[in-house]
Amino acid sequence: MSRAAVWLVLLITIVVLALWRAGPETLQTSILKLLPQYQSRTAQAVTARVSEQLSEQLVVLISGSDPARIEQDAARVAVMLRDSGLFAAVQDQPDHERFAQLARQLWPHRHALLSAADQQALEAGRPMGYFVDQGRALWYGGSAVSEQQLRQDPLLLFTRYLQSLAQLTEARLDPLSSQLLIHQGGQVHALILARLEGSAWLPELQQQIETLLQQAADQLAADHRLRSFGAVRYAAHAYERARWEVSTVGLGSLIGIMLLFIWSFRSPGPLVASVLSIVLALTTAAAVSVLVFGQIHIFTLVFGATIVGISIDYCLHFLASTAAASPGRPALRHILPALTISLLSTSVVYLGFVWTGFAVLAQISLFSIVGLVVAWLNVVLLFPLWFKPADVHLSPTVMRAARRVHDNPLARLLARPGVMWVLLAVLLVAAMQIAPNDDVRAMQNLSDSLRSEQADIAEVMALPEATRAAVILDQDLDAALEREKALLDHLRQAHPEGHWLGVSDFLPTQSQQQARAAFFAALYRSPPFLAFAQELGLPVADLGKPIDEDSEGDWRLSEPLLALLESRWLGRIEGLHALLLPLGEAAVSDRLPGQALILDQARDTSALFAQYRERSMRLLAAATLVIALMLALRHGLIRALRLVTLPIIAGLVSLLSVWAMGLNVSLFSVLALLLILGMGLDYVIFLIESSDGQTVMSAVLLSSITTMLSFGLLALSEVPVIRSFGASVAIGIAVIVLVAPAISQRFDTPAVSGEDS
Amino acid sequence: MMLSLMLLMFAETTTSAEAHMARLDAAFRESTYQEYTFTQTRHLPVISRPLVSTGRLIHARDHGLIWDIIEPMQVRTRVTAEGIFKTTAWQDNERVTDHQMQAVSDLLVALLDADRDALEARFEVTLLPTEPGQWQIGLTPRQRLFRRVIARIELRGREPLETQGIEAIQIEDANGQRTLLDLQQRVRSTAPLTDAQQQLFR
Repeated sequence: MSRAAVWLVLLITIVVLALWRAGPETLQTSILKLLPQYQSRTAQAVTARVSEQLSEQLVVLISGSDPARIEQDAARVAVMLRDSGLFAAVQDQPDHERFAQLARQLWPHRHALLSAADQQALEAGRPMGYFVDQGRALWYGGSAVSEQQLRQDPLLLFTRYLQSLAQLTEARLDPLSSQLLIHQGGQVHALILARLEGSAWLPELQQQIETLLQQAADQLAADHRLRSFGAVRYAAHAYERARWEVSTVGLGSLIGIMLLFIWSFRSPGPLVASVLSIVLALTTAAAVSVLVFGQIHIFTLVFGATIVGISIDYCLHFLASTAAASPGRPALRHILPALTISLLSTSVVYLGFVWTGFAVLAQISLFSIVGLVVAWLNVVLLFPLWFKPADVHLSPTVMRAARRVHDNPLARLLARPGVMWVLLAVLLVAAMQIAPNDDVRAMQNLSDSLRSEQADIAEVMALPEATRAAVILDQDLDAALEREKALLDHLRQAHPEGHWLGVSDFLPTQSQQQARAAFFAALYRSPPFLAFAQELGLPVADLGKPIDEDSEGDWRLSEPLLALLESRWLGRIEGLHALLLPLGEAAVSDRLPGQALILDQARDTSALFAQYRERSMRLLAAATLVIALMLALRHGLIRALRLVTLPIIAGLVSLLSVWAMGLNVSLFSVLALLLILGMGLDYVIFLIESSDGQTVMSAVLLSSITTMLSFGLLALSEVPVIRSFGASVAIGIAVIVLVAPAISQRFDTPAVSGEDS
Repeated sequence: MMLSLMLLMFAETTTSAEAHMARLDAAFRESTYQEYTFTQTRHLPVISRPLVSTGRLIHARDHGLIWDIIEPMQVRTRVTAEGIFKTTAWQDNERVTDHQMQAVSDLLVALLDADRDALEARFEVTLLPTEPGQWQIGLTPRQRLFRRVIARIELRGREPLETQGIEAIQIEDANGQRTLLDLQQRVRSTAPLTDAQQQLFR
């Protein structure tokens, strides 16, 4: 009694501590947190910065055919977004003021600035006459010129530099509209760019934004359409799905378990006790995860909920053997060795995953081990208080079914000498043929409708597919710019079809600044320019003199310029200036000048997934070996090998079936193998440890049905990777239930044949 | 009585700016190819001498616009669906990535075509008083933002405007700079483009 009381007090303390520690961000839903970490800290930091930038953005597009009405609607939606307070910034109009401010700030440095085209002309050795003619064409064309420009930038080179900044946005905005308007093939689109106030991964914020977008769409004119994209929308969708799936799987397994228990035990007691035990196990597991990691990922909950299957095993074995025991003789003593060995072996399997280096796997492992220990302690400490042998009755139908499954032909075949090893060999050879697919894009479920909205918007905005990028990191800004320029020069030459623009096209290095100052001085003294000045009657006395600059810090690091270049200039990362150059779709080789670091998140993540898959597979193999050795201490080596071979067979069959069904085999299949191995070992250990094969088989059968039920439900998931996982476990469990009796027929013949006669 | 009423109505419609726009629009709607010579005079307050350039302007429906400055230096700007290309003494067909330029050429096309819908969407149209036998239409940008760039535009011509077309476009920008474009129509046809004409846009 007192031990049980101490146990309960301990559980409650853990949960209370966790609740006390938990905050609004305790439940992690960010997909980014799921991704394995880069080995290099800098690469990780760059990826994090880029992802953070991207995840804060929400792009809204309003489309129709009449520009004036679209402008009105866009302005109204922008006000709605602004008033919602959910966004740090909402831009729906061209920011002329910011641009004018930038022009004013850069004006004193005009002799250090040249547009990329002019810089290239300079490098190509164009004569001064070329630059004079460029300016002259603008004069005679229609460019508006101010007196200041006329006197101090008569060839409009600074104007050309400012205009070149517009190239940073590919979208062809209507310069005459008060909104961000894009005309495309008879359609008009208004663009609204918003930056979230909070994290895109806060479910609350996601819901508010979804509602807001819906309200905005409802307010539009009937022939107008609102589309949007941003990480927050994918996150909202993924969160909704995950929540739905967790509750469906949870509810589905719960209803299944309830029906099965009531039908099998003909009384509510066992059901209530088991459900309580599972609830305690899950709550404590979640609480300990929060205490250890500070937070818990929703993915941990999805996968962790699967320990329901194993913890219910413990309850069922206790209940079945209590039902079979004679009054006065506690059933616990019979099954305690099996329960304990089962807990230890399953924990060994899970424990291996703490060291994969993949944070979410470590969380899942800890969650599962804690949950199982709690379930074990519940059965050992609490159940004997509740149930006495006379209280529990097992339905005869279950017993009969158990015997039929126990004596199935497959198990009999496998029990024959040598058959098991032949089958194992065949399956291993077959499994060699499996081609794993670690592509992270094949694992996610990006909703089709969201994806097509994103594609539409990307097309209208002329956004390149930003999957690959080159990153240049350097302590020294000038060195970073020089390295980027070398890279750009190479790309322009090797891939002239691309639209290459980098930070160094807009920010001069210090040596470039000196070279340009000399160029301007020479230009304004050159005969072609003097002739042009005379033609117009321009005063030339002041030109070409050095400009007085206020030398407070580096003017290149000014705020408006940084903001304009923000998608390419990541600022300082770990003390290094970081420049990012999107590589788009061009078949750019990985070996680039300027020692650029190539980032390709989809590819890199897939490679990491492959690496983790191989590593976890090796860990799983090692864990299996450890368990075999553990079991060998008790059962001898050959028997121990036979014990672990049966779950391995089930795992291989499941893997092959999933692969044959066209589902993905990836890192997450190893997780499925882990569960199959854990539960399979559980089954065979109980079968071999128990003297009463039929009772144990009844418990195994009931437990496998509940497990297949819950994982069968996971197979309905919208997320391909979870679908594959669910199907894999369900198939594996079905197979293990059929093959596990091979061990007890061989070693437990007297009991079975006794009942047969 | 009846006749005077009809005359009055006639007078009413012909003097309204919308009616002029409608007549221009109708006259130009069918044209597929227009070719003008132009003299452009820019008056900039900051320099005493006006900047005068001459050249040729070609607009072919569905093909694009060619703006050829011949004097004082040669610059050919070609605006087509593929983009904007500039040819000078220094280089051939250099792509211009200037979005402003695209907008200006869109406006010019709308003006040359007297595209009533496009113009009325952007401008307040008023009929200005002028000498007999001539007409003058004023366009004031509706949008505040647009007015910061262009203060007003005037279109001028002689009657009958159906045959004479637009003879001058004057653009006044917000800084008080005036650009006068004197146009002399050389060709205006409603026939499909000849091979030679199409060749210009390739």
